[in-house]
Amino acid sequence: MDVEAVKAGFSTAHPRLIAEAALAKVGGKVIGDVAEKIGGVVVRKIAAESRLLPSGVGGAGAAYNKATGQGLYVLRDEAGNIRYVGRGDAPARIQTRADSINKSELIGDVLFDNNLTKAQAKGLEQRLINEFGGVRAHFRDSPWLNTINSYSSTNPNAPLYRDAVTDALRQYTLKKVGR
Amino acid sequence: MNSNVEGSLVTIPTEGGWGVAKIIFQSEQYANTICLKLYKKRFLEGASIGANDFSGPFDLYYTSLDGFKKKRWTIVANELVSGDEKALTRRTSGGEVWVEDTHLGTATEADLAALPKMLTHGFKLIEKYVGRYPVAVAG
Repeated sequence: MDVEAVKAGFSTAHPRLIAEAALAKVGGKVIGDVAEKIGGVVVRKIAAESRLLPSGVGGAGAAYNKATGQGLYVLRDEAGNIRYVGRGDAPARIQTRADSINKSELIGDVLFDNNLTKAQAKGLEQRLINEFGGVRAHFRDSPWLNTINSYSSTNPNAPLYRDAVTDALRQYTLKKVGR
Repeated sequence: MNSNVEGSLVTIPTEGGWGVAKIIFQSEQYANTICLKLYKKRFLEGASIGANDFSGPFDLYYTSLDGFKKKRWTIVANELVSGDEKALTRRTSGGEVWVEDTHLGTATEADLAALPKMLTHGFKLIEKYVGRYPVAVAG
């Protein structure tokens, strides 16, 4: 970092890196950048893709990418109550989870089909756990089968995971689960 | 167990009897997942179930292959899956529209209202549902 820039409150990091960090928090990504010299000044144009409300289908199985294409799913009981939330390669994992011990009488529902960033998936997983009663490790009477949180509050990436869940994404997800 | 079970006619145990179903779709996208055309009837223990019994009103359920892996469900015959049956797999999952393993695009509000949602039921639930169907006479 340039000392004068730090004093002035500016970063001298490459503009693309700054944009990537900012966009990652809201689930966006840089899709291209170009430098142009205009009147002796270098102007960098950055093209970004916003993914505030994810859609589409990410790769599954061998094509799964846990950094940019995670899924999110819930398992419900027959009455429709959410009992478990999971993330990862949702199409691959949902049946594995549904048929494991304690979960073979539950109903799986994919909320996002591998189209979330890792930060969005972890952030949403924790938000849903919080919204619907907390994990068993902290609340003995919790109806959840999740035993531990998605991430610890002391995790260095915790702010990134929290910030990745915008109000719009949270509302969109709650609508998907029927709340 | 043969890993390709699409088109199979299967019997599913329930307390004191059996249910009957046809597997109309086996997904590669959704690993370990099949679509069951589960006929809304059950047969009592000892009934002689024939090919004609795989007919009539049905419910559609997505479930796993675990009923077979745990040697509870039995394949008794096989028949072609018709075009009409394949069309029954048009559904939404995660806000996306699918038919079989073909992704048709992001669901509109109209799609979400009109199409069934792909919910995957644990195999024990399927056996429980069979137990709720009315008893039928085989043949």
